Amino acid sequence: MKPKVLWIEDFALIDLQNWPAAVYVTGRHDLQIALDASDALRHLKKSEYDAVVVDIQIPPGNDDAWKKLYNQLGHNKATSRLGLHLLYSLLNPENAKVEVKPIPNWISSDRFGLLTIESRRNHEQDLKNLKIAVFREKTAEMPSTALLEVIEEILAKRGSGLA
Amino acid sequence: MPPLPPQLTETWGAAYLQILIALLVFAFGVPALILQVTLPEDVRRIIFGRRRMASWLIIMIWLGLFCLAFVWLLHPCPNGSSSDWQNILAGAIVTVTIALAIGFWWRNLYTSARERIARDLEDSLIKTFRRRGFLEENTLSDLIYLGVHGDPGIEKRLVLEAIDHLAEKVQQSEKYEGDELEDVIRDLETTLTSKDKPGSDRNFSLACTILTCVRNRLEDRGWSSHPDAQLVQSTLGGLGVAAVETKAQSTALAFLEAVASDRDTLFEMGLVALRAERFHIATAALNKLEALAEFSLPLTADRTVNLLGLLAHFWNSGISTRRRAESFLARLKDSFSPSLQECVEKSLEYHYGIARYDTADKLAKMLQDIKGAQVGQT
Repeated sequence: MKPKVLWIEDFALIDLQNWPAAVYVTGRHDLQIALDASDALRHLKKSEYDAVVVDIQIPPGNDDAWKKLYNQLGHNKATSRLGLHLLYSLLNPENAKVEVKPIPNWISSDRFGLLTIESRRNHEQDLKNLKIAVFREKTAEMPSTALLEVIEEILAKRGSGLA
Repeated sequence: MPPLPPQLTETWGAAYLQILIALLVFAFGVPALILQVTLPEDVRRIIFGRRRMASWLIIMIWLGLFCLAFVWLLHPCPNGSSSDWQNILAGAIVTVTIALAIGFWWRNLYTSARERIARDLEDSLIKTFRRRGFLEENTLSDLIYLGVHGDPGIEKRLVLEAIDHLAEKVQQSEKYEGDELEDVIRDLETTLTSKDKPGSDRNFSLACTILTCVRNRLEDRGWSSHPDAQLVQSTLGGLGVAAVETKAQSTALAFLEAVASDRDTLFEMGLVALRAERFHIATAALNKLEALAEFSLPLTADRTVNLLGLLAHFWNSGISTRRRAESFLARLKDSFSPSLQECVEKSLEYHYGIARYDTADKLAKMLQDIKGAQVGQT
């Protein structure tokens, strides 16, 4: 069975639409895409994923709780950082701003990685709190294989127990 | 002392009559002509279709009352000896006629905005559904007419948004039983795939979101096999294939994500994409078909007919596409049950049986190559 992968990224089908191509060509992963926090949560509740790649700056989607938080935090993807709040809701619920119930029991930090435009320097504490080991900063020069690399890094770390 | 109202003398009566006739001619006739010329045909058809009868009925009744009043009640007296109530009534007739004319045109201009019409139709449909448990056919037809004949972009978006709200309200209603949105879902496709005015990329993306939301709400109720859910699936498929043919890659990929569990649609979209040399979409469809098949091993014939069909097209399309097909078979050729060869044969029969002769031919060619390779190995 192909490892199941979820990529939570609002630009997945627009600016970054070439990134999944590298994953599809290898044929090694079952890649699914969620474009916002509500969509992501729906996917995560519906299926178990071997790797979840999360962007920090994502829109809220249809769910009222995420929309409310988005508005409270400035009605802006950059200031609201819903991807991060989604991770707190799943991996560190005590410090979460949105309660997710029930949290699927397969959820664990070693299955998650961040692929974001934000700098790692600004998120050292979050990574520690969430126990996430994989972090990749999106840059303009990044090749279209970046997503594949992050997925394989998460899977490799899980496989070797390094996460 | 307050000034007296004008007495209903013959002169005043004639003046009133002239004003009223002028009003009737200019207040109703000229603006009607302007609307006829300026309003888009689809908007005009709906406005006049839905409101003309009532409006003209009011005007005709008013005209009748006015004639009756002037002929039988307010007959002008040459000596100005008409009573107070006659004078008041005459004044009232003229005043109300002016107010009626202004009100009539304000209402028509206000409601002729496409957005307003769409919202009115949506409200009307929701009210009817809440009261009677079904969507009123004529009103829905008007909404869809507006969508089909609206220009791509904003005009179609207004109708799609009305459909979105309508679907949400209907699905939230206790009267909803899982099949009341059939016409709405079917018409959504008509709105976007009309030959003269097909929807824009954004229209397609919005439709994808609307249909996905309808399906999500059905799934939340555990109604995945209800008629509306099945229709959503087939509509997503139809629009998905249309998106692969005519829309941007991002739009097609959005549909591909939405139909990710439907093998037939993935096959269709993958094949259309491959033929159009939209390799990213084709490979994404193949990847999803592979994932569905690989979900549980061994790979049996009934779960791989579409996968092998698309693989056969990849196999016979070009060097790189063949390489992609070979990489899958190299990895999993031993996971087929009873064997890869037999699964390909069954897939060939399946596609032949539903008149997909080109796919059957490609499978026959792939089968030949696989057999040849096996002979070569031995």
